[in-house]
Amino acid sequence: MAIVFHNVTHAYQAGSMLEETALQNISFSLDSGSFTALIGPSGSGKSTLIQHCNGLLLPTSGQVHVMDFTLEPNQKTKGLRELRKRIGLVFQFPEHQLFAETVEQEITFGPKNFGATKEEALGLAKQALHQLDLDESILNKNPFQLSGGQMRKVAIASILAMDPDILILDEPTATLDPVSRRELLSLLHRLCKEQGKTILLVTHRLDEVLAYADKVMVLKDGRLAFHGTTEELSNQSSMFSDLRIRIPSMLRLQQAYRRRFPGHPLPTDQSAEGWAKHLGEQIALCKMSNGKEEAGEELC
Amino acid sequence: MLVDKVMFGRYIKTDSWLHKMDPRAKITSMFLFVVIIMIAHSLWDLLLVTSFAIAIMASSKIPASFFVKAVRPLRFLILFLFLFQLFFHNQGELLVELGPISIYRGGILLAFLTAWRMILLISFTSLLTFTTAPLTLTKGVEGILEPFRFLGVSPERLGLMISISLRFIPTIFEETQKILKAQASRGAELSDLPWKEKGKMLMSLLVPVTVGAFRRAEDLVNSMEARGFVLGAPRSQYETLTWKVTDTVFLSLFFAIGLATLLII
Ligand SMILES: Nc1ncnc2c1ncn2[C@@H]1O[C@H](COP(=O)(O)OP(=O)(O)OP(=O)(O)O)[C@@H](O)[C@H]1O
Ligand SMILES: [Mg+2]
Repeated sequence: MAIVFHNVTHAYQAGSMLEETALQNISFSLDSGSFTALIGPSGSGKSTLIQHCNGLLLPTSGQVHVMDFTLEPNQKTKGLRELRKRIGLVFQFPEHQLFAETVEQEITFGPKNFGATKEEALGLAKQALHQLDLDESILNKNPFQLSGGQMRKVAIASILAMDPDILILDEPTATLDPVSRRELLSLLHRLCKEQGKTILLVTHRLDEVLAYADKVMVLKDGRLAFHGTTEELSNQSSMFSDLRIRIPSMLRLQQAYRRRFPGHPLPTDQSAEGWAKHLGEQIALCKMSNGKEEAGEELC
Repeated sequence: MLVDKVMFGRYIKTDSWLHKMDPRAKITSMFLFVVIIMIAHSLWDLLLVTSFAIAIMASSKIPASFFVKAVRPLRFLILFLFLFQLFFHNQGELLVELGPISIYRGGILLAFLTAWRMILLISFTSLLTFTTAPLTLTKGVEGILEPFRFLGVSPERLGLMISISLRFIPTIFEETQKILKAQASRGAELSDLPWKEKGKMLMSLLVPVTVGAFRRAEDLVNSMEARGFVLGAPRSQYETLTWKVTDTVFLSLFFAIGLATLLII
């Protein structure tokens, strides 16, 4: 288990008049090397939840176990360094947290803090830039001169350069162009499957991550409304309308397919090409079994 | 967390009678209070003023911890003033002499009184923003400046400046906290760093926070203009200020205390 939440409740400004409960009794566990998508409407507590994973926020009650670390209410922040070295957290709007004078300083900040030498850090920085398809010439630029999307990529690169075991990203794809979005997701998928990194990704676009995620968690009003595989998710259409989340087109396609061809298997390859091929085969199958075209179309 | 510790400029809704007072009465009385603190020199003056202030603070229903938090950021300034008076005031009986340091009885008394007055001043005046919503406060300032219009003062302009500044204080702290959190995630926890590093790091935050503030300010100006805001143009008022009897009574209380301190001397 990479991350385990045990009855975690979190209240901002606990004990004062401004107290505001953001998480209530959250329990779940994430396997090492899994890819989990976390969704939920605005204000449901997603950002609050993920900040518990590296001890930036501590539970008001309950416990968080991350790898071999345990985080409890009122714990000292000393000793969290080791934990933070192994967890990379990309915040919502990461471009707002850039602070260094050059991109190089920005990206090497983490690795250097965790003991990498200057050369090692630079190597890691270049690798991270490469992974995000940014040019090395950007290293000497001032981060504030970059475009919004470039800033975001630099911020993500600054986390990747730490080479953490667990990667947690809060809506990393917002403000990126469609191509970069897909590239980032497939990069995360590769890191997960090839290097065994655990990924937790907050997103509003379930559609986008469905092909990559193993599990999906849904938060609603600070409570965990659903945690399961993407297949299990397709049986939850009432939850979607409840949460006012649009059912991902992939799930809609699967549902429509099941209604139209009851009992038929879903395509093994879930990409657009796979579906087209599969549907073609289904139609051919129908035609063959009926001999006549019109009848075949009626049946299928 | 940093933001939780900063109380200055915050509005705390407890719906006490102070919250319902006319902001003009509150602002004027705060000015009077500052004057009273300045003229209150003796121990007795201060005791009187302090009990008066505590009574009003208690009736605001705001927990004492909030006032403590309001004073906290200025504790070093207060300490500095305290030590300054302690070491450099040479009246009364000489009590201690250690090399270059000499402490007199008068110095001790003055040091205590100075620190006390500072604490009283900060905690009591923070009551103004604690009990007045920013918009009402702005109205109050505009109302008070109204008589000075003929001198070329533009109450709307000043009011807008004040309300925007108040609006930005928490934002700037949030922005700072965001960067601090992000840096902690990357292995630089502020509270774990030695003093020198801490200072360096806070300095390095200056640029991004300023950049962030300018970015926000620009967005704000644009969005106000996009919604047709023109400074000084006639606008309908959502809520207008009304001066009530209680406001007069409240203000007179401060005059009374002020007179009392003058007379006790
Ligand atoms: N620093 C804070 N102080 C007080 N309350 C907060 C703070 N941050 C968040 N909250 C409150 O906690 C709740 C959950 O906020 P959170 O930021 O975790 O939501 P979210 O799911 O990330 O939303 P979004 O999708 O908009 O990012 C909200 O009601 C919010 O008002
Ligand atoms: Mg969020």
